[in-house]
Amino acid sequence: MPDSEFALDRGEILRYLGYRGQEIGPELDREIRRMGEECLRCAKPRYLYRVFPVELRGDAPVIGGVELLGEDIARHLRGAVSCAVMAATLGHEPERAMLRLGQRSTVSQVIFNAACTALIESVSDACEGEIIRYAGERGLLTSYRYSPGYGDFPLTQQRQILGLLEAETRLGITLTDSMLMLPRKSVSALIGLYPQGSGVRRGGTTCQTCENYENCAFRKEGCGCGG
Amino acid sequence: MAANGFLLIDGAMGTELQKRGLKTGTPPELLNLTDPDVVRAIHRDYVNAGADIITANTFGANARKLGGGGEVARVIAAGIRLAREAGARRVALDMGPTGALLEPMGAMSFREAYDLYREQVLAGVEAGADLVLIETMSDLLEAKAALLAVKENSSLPVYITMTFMADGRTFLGTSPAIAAVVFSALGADAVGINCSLGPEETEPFVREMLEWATVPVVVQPNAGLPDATSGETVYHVGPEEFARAVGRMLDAGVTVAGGCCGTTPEHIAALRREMEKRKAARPEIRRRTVFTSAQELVSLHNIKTSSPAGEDAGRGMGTVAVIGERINPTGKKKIKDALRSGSFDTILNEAISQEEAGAEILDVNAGLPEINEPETLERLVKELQAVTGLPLQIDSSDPQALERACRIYAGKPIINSVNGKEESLAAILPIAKKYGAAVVGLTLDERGIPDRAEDRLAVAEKILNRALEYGIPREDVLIDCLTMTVSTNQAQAGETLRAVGLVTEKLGLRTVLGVSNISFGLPNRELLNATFLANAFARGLSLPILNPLSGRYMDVVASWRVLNGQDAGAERYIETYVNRETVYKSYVNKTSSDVMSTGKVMSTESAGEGDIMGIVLSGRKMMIADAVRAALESRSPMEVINDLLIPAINAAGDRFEKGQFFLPQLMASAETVKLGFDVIRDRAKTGEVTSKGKILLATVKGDIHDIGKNIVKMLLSNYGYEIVDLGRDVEPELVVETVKREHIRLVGLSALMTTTVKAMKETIDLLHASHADCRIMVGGAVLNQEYARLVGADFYARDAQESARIAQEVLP
Repeated sequence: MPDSEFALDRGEILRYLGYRGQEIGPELDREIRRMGEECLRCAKPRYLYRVFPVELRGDAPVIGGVELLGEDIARHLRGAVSCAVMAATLGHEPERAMLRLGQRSTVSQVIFNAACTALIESVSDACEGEIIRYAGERGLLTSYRYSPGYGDFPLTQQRQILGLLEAETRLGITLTDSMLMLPRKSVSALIGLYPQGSGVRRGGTTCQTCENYENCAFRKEGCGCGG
Repeated sequence: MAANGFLLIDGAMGTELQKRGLKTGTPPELLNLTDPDVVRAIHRDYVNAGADIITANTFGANARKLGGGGEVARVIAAGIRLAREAGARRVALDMGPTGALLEPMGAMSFREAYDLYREQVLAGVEAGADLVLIETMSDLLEAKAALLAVKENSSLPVYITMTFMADGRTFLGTSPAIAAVVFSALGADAVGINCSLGPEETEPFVREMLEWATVPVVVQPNAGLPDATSGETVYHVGPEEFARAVGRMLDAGVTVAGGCCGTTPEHIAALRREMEKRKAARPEIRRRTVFTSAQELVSLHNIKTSSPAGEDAGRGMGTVAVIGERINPTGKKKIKDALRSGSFDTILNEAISQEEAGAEILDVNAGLPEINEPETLERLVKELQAVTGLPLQIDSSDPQALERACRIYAGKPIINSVNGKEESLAAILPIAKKYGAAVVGLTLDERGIPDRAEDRLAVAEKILNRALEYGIPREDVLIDCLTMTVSTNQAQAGETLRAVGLVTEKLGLRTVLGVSNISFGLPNRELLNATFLANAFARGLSLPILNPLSGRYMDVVASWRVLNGQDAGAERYIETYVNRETVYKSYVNKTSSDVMSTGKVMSTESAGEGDIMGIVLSGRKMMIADAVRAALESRSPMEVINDLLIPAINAAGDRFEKGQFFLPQLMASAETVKLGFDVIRDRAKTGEVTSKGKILLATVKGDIHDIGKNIVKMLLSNYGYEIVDLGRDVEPELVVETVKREHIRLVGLSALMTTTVKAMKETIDLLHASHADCRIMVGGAVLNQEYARLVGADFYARDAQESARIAQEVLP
């Protein structure tokens, strides 16, 4: 569980707003500041991860009894000895604030949404950081975050992935029938843990290299998927 | 009862199953069918540990989690039987969350949740369960659905526990006090706390529950905080430490206890030994008048006062809470329009404004003869709960409307109102009782409104007695002594005030009073209302119903709270008024225009019409109203729209397309233009502003990402279109129905997820099948030109600016 305060990076908020160097007037500037503060005030960042050994059923990786479907996740976890399952969320209060702001001002709502996206990113990064430390202590390397819905890893496995974490009771993350996580500002992901010398290179920008880049819902909406 | 009046519930099932090597990944309830011996053995261990109540392995046995195929009844029947076979004295049907989030934050309806629980309850009754345990709940409304499902489909006792985080709230923001109040009022047999925290961390929240619950309190903590990093979840609090900590809660008044995650038969046996050492004793129950939403609690009490020598100076004056009156169509055209069209934005905004102005409870009235009031009131109450945390006062004369709204309300509401007529008492009081609501009683009966205060007191007493007969607690009966118009009958003001005093003194009930009616037909109504309000406070009024947007009323409230002691040390008063200049000035030697400017402060610099383009492009919202007013001096409303506002928003759109603006800047311009439109609409005479047509917008069924749709809506409303916004997660049938009823010619649908594009196609297919005469544009992150064609749309709007271009093509 996070024990530190999370900071919000103004540059990140602007990036999610599609900012490309336009001049920002004082009113807009104030609104960005205000929405950033509001986001930090009402968010309750929580995260959780568990590490499972990776077993194989044929070519398909199996973690915690869950067989992972699709070629992309199999490729992603090839050579991994274990796999961290993580989830992070900002809680329900930002959702309520979003609805409320939407009644008052679309400008505020859009900026608030971007601020929340920036925040859930930094919360996910913090969780990932712990996983990297966990791996490091065991002499392992990590890959980047890979979520249901990326490539051909089906979104419908979201329920099993969250089930491995008991994310419903532990983090308050629920799923709709269309596999949408609620609160919406939530992230779930798998991170492979690999032995040294297995050819895995950590890092790199994940969004641009993602196969789903062109069609990515989250990217178009102006919010990252957490990958 | 086992030990000394306590009831001992068993401990964890899940962690015991894991210990015996059963895998995660499939619903553990299926083990009732596949591995009955293991489940039975765990139950038996708890029976041997001394548990009075064995919790059947049915926590997630609902149709949503198990899938269809009649599994629910089978799994539950097996679960109850296994507990019975293990020798359980009492077997509890266990029900946890459905796994889906309810509307308005989620997509599951109250009805769907209720039906899932109902199926479980019927199966549990059939299988012979002795009681029902609803547990690990985070959502007050979902828990209420479960509770109603038990009470309406069985006669079994029911315990209900919620799970709280370290900050003392559930994931959805409910506090222990709120849970205690709401489930006590709804008739649970015990309320309490389980899971998430260890006994140490749970204790303060249990004490909070004991403070507010009027029924027994139950606790089932985890064996400490979970530690899950390395695959397996581990709990660190051992049996003796666990039992000692729970023992302290038994001393504080808890009478039913057991364990949750990580507890073992040893924990339960240790707890039993603690129970045997003491006698169950529930502390004295405090009776308070209290209302709640799912997140907030408003309670009324008398302020303890003491003389300078420190002696108790007797019963102090009561606290007051403001009920906002503005969600009511009477005399408000915009609210009437919103109720008729079903597009509630104006009303939701009104709720937020009242909350910001200091209202603590909101009255909600949707009474219009030409609409379906039960349906409208239910939906309005649902939507209001998404944008405001204030408790609601549900206001209707239609019992069916009251019942439907109370049913889906997350919290303890006030019903407004019942009166002394037999017909009313018989129709309304059972609803208040069933849904655990407080109820306002109007002091009138078959003979009308009595003239004399004593006769109104008699009606109040009759209402109170009837309420008590129905089992409604005294503190939940509120009396409205009815304000009469002073200009038609001057003696009546005094009688109403006297009646408030009599009801307060003789019956000890809290009173409600709508103040505005007093001044009807007279000038400067705020002045009269404020004077009347101050006097009603002095007679004991607790709950004024007023317009909180009037600073004058709120001044009276703030100052009264100094006089009655509610604002301790006058702290809030000083903070509010120390730097605020008084708005009431002397009349002497001044012309009438200089005084009483209690309204808006006029801006000193006023913009001319030529600046509209600049104001819009720079998004200066404060200045647009004056600029538009100036423009209206020399131009017709349509000229202002077509020659000034639309060119300005087009210019902003151009800049966006060229990358000179980014999204928030375009939206700021759009909001500025919208305020300009509002000025024109307010000032224009009927027929002077013609609509360019109606556009329906909706985010499709199953999808609740609506920011994109909201952006489109904001922009389109600036081109003179009327937007009918059906919101998010919209049923295809509702779209078709609305298109036909409102004669809509352009429909905009949005979907964000690949999984919900299906619903978009269904909606479009249904529109085509019904031969609706409209064009369809679609947008949303997963769509592109080709997808748009595949789902059968006429247009693909890649962004909001494009939707405006399409609208101008279809509805020029």
